[in-house]
Amino acid sequence: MKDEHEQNAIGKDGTRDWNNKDSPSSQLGQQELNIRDLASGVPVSGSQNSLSRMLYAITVLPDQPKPLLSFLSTVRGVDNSKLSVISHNGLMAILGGTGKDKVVANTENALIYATVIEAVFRNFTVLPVRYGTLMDSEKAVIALLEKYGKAFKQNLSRLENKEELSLKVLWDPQKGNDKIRQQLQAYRVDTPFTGNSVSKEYLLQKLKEHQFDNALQSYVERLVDEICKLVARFNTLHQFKKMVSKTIVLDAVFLLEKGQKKAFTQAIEQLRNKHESLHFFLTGPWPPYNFVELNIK
Amino acid sequence: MENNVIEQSKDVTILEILDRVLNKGIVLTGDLVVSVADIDLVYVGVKVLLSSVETMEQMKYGTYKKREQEISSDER
Repeated sequence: MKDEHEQNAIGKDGTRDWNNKDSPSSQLGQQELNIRDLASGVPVSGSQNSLSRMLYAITVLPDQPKPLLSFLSTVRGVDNSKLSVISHNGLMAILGGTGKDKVVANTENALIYATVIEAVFRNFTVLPVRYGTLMDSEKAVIALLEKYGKAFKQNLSRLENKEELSLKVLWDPQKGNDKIRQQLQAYRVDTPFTGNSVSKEYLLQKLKEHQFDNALQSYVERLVDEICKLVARFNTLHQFKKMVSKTIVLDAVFLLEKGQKKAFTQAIEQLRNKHESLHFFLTGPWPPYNFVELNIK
Repeated sequence: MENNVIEQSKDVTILEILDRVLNKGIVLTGDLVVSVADIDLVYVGVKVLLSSVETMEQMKYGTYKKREQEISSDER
């Protein structure tokens, strides 16, 4: 990428030079991508300057953008809309038309949205944007790319050639709790309480609950330690959520170099073989949804 | 329980997709954004079972017949 080239392509005000013959986008021809509609400021719907376009993702403007743009021209977004792009400052925003000022948040749309991001992710580093983010103008998109360009580039650089894997560890709550209680029995200590009063019963119950919670927490902590040791060789970034629900003991995400899924899966299989009462649910590779570090307000 | 876990695993998959799309990634707030969909209601009616992104694509390109009840922000 060459910033000087992009400035020429985009223009100083970021809105006027989309028809520049040197522009990567202008080399594609109008039919390949409806980028000119955006570039020329022709309103997609509604009032002038209105975009009502959903922002899907941010990616790097490739030195040779044609493959990406050609690829995007074959993909359809929410409401079967064509995708379009706005590039600025070495970055590319991927958008899809909605023609609306509000978006429907239903399962189908969310899945289509995920599919678009997934498709781009397969060949390019991508920063996913949360579903439902509508941009009201081309200038707003360019302003976004300008203002947060540095942060976007830092994230894109950090996430280059990386993919996210997700591991959920599930158990049967009843069997799991029984297992923890059995462990508690094995290490049972004499109660410090004496007598037969109601308060004693209450305190005993509270003590048991406290001991159970501690034992459960220790169990999960040991499991986390075990996983961390097992996957240490992958040099991953990871995040763990413990006891997300009665069924989900662990909800973890890992950021790996692309192409390590097979070896990572084998490592998790070792763990599965060791813990037969647990169910290991590994998914991915995902775009790095959980590892984008941006706080935009 | 085994079957329950499998069923839950399938549900987890779809929830994982939705959780990522709706809760993760870059979040923009401020005057750049016209509106941001309220995500909470999308979890209503999550019944579709997925095992892979490929399945998603099959759904996208024709085999997806079941349309969840649309919950637009207009209705809220």
